[in-house]
Amino acid sequence: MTAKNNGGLKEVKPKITDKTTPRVTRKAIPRPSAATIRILGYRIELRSLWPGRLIISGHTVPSGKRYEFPSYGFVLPVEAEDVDGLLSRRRGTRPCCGASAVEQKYFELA
Amino acid sequence: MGLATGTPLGDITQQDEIYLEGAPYIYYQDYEAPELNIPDASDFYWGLTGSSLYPIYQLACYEDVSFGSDITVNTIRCDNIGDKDVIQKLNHLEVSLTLSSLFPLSVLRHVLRAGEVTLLDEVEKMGIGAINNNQYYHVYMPKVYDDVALDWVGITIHRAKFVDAWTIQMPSGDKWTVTGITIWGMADESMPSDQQFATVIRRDPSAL
Repeated sequence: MTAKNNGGLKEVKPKITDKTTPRVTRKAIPRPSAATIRILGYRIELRSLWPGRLIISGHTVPSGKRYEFPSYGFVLPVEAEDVDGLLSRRRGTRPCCGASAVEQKYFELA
Repeated sequence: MGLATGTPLGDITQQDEIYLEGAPYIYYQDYEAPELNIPDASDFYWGLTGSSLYPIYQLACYEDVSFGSDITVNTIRCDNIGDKDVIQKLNHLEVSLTLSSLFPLSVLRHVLRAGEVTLLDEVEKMGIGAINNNQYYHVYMPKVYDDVALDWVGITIHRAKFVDAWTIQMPSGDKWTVTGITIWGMADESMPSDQQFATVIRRDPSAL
């Protein structure tokens, strides 16, 4: 162990004696070709958790695109830049009377 | 000792000293969804399971909940003797309640038998029009009566409809409520005859 004085407080650094490094095996992830990316436009599928028709108008998402989920459970590919915003959408009010365990999300990854 | 105490002779099954208080939770789901147990290991059909096609809806704040039956009763009356027998027919089960939480409209619309709800950004839209008479639900009402031991009783109504006229009371100085909410549990011919209307499940390891 080594110690140095740091304004009255002693910082203790553990000595690393074990030099063995953990083995990490990596699988090669096939990357889509540039042409595929252009065609798909980095789209990611989201599933609607809203029990009804859900429309996201263009002015509430970065891509400006309009999405329409006709019913609960409907899966739609959305632009990658819109995914974070849509996944983080929650109903603003707390669920009432014993329903608190249920997260009030609008979307999940399909 | 039977004669001395007034108790009958022979085997007697007594009731438990267990009392339930308050309303159960009330869930409903489209009738097309399969129930959770279809059937379980002892041939009982009960419970709900949500899916991406058929979500489960939960009613939130309600009061004056009651659960009963509608039975036609006709006696076999012999005028010279009196009633010799009675013929009974269960017509439907009936759950009634008053609802205090109105939102979201996507949950309330089933209760009101209103149209499909559309959510456009932050705006919910719902029409009230013709009633869809082909819409049926499963209704599940579990009640945990011992929170520590997790003892509970649950009623599954297999084929139900919201019926009767509703009224939204809008009083001054008090909350809005939807009154007149009635759920009928009707015969489900896909069920065994002794479970056609409903199945009641009770779990209580300390008492059973």
